[in-house]
Amino acid sequence: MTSEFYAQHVIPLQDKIFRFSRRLLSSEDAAKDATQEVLLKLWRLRKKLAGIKNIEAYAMTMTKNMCYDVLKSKHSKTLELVHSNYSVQSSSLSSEIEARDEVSLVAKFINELPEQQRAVIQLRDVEQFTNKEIEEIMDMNSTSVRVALSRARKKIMSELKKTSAHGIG
Amino acid sequence: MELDKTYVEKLLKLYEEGETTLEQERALKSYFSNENYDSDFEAYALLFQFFEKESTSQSPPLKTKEKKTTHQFWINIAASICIVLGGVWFYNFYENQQELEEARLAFETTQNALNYLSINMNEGLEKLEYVEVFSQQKNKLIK
Repeated sequence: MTSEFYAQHVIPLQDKIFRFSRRLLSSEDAAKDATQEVLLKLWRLRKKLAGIKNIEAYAMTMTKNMCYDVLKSKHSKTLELVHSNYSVQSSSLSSEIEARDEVSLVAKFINELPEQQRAVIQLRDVEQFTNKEIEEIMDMNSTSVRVALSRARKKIMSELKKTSAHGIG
Repeated sequence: MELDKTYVEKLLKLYEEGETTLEQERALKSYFSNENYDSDFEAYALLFQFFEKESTSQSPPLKTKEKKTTHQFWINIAASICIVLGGVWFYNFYENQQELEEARLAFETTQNALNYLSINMNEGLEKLEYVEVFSQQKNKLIK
């Protein structure tokens, strides 16, 4: 019964969880690990899931927390390894390669946004959550969700207009 | 769905302010999903097409990885147990073998010693026959 519930309500969320963690962590592998962790956590909680109103939002909250934890530990690690700038080099290289593709030019601009704006735009414009759900997931009030969304959209658009004015896009 | 240019413009303005509803955003997405959009909105088309594409991208399979690792984990455990058991068995075997060898050596040495003893003993017995003869002669003389 509970495993059926899990299969019906949680398994279909895998793609969303993965996309959200990929957006936050900017890495396929890290996102895969995070997704695995979140699904495992939800599996352990499967008996309690039936009592949760919005499982989708719940899973997203969990994903956000998981990714923030990963980012925190990553930050502290990079602080320790101040002298080795391998990761910086490789990330700029991969984003350059990505940028050759027009559509992933957008991805590049999104990934350059601050964490919170990145999360909000992913939740709203890709996953189509309502602002209410986003407030709940991100633990923000309605004004700050709207502001973050607006800033993110304006920033991406100004970057896109800049590059298309240069004739790259 | 056909939207006229001024309406799209208005929606995009609202969109940038974060004021559009999900329905309006869906309308924009479908407006940009085909090639008929106004070329003035080229930059927006990139954005909305990206969202469309991203929202259908799928998670790579995860389950197999976990299964494989737990599988490997158990294989590792089993292998370690086999090695340890094998080691213990060999040690015992070797120890036994060593004991048998020692016992065989001890047995041979003892056997040799006993053989030697019995040969000497037999030699001694031969000499005793003279004593027998001597005592018979002595008995003849002294009665």
